[in-house]
Amino acid sequence: MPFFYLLFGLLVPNLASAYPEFIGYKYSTCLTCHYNGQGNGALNEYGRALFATEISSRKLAGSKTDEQLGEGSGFLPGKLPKWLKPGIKARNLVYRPNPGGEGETRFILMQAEVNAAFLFDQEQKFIFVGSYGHAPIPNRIKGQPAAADTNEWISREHYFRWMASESLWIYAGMMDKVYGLRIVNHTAYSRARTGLAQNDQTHGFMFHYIKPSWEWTTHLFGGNFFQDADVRQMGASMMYEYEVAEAWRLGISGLYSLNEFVNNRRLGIHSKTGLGYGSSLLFETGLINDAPKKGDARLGYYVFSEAQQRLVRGYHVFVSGQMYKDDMKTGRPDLMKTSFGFLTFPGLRSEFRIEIENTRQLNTSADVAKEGWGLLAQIHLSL
Amino acid sequence: MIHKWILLISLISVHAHAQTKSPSKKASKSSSGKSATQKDATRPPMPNQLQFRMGGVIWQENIKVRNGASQGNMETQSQGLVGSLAYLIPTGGRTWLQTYAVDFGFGAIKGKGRSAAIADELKGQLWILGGFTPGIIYRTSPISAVGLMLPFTYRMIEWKLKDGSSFNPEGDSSFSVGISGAYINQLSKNNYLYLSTTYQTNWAANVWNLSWQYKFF
Repeated sequence: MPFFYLLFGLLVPNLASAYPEFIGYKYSTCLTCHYNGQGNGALNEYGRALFATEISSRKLAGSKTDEQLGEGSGFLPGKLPKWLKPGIKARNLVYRPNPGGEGETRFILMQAEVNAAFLFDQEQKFIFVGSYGHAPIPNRIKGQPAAADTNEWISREHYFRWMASESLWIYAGMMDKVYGLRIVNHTAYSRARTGLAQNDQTHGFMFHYIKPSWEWTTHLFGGNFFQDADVRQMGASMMYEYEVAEAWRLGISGLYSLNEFVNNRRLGIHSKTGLGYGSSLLFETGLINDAPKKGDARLGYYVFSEAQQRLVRGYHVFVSGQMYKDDMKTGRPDLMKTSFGFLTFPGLRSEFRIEIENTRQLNTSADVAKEGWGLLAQIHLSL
Repeated sequence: MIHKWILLISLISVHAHAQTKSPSKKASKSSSGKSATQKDATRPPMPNQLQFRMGGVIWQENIKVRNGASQGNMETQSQGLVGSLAYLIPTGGRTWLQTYAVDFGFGAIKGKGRSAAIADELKGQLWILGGFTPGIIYRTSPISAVGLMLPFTYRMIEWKLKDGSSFNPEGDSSFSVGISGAYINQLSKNNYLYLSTTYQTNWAANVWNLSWQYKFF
């Protein structure tokens, strides 16, 4: 069976994403389940066990108890040295624009990578986490000169983590920039339009100070060292989160970065709320300011909201609403994206997500752009 | 083994002390608790409820238009406010509820012809609607629910055209039956957040609705 998973994982798809929605299960900080205290990347042992015993469905578990599922949630459980925590992750997207009408279905292997955490001491004060894998050339540059300079084999993260004290965690290396809600949907306006999508990691230092009711993170970064020096976005970001009540956190984020062509500033606020058991409400809004060295600066905004409802163990339904405007000037359209779908974890190490997405424009003129529809299905497997 | 992991994590993460729970402990906690059916049996029956809802809607649809001998479709966009008065009747315990709502709303519709023959444009045209929506609601937790409804909606558009214009849009009055999915979340004792998406079959339109809902009783 592990071989089957391995093969399927390499051919098709991962579970390497952060789910702030899990505040619905009363897990309000990413550090609980991820090596990276801001989420994303590989799950730690507790995260794997929790996923197996609380999040994923038991339908395929047979007669195994939750404890047995938890014990078997690691990679080759019991057969590797304790200092080595490897994993294999893959994610495949099926995208169908205009479902039911004309359109071409696209199959996109978004991620296929190996990762490992090396634990240098028993208390995990010092660890190294790294990943390496395939990242397809984005469709927008396929067939263009830029595609030739794009490496399809990349490392999305590699960093040392040092637990300096019970409250202070220091990271050095390549990782995602700290900002806002780190949601799984990297095409959401709050991620894609802010420069925080799936391939926007950066080298730098991250300082994460965490207390039971609040946390502060500062990220100082020098850009992605695999890119040419002139396009590297260097700067800093921060995020502060405060727990207003159990399972309700409010946060504020800021980011400033620049390269030789453009200065980027982002400022956002967010809220994540757990409701009942397994259900959640997420909300984030912010400003996006891009100031090119030549040309006019633009000031836009974005909104992300999502309500997720647990149906039964392993199965959730969600509704999402988003807004975006690239420049808050008269005549520029507001983009609106609404969607609903199912997020399921049908078994150990697996995730299936299906979403129907509707996009439209709002503007002050009589012109009405045709609304767009898309059907997205994702399979994630994680070993 | 899992207990070792939990112990390890709890040693290295102060936050984990406050936030995390052992998955196995959580499982035993839920297994030792009363089942939903047992709880239902011990609680008083849920009373009928009267709720009021008000919120924004948006949708797009094609409306047939004519200009002289030419005819075609115009992509239109409607935005407005819709209110509903809903009566909810619990059915079979505290999990399922029947809902019957009367709806009313108003807003503006706009659009622009895309062909040279019909290049007319309309803005700020008033529409009003009324309807009746039966449905069923499933409470997924004490504070959240999902619903499936069948809205029957009648709409009138008060086209105001320039004098002497040969432009003639249809849809002065129309009727549509839809199927609607809703997500309802309780924000406080009497206040709810209501999200729905409706496919209106006769208009071939998807209506998105975000509303605040208030429970009178």
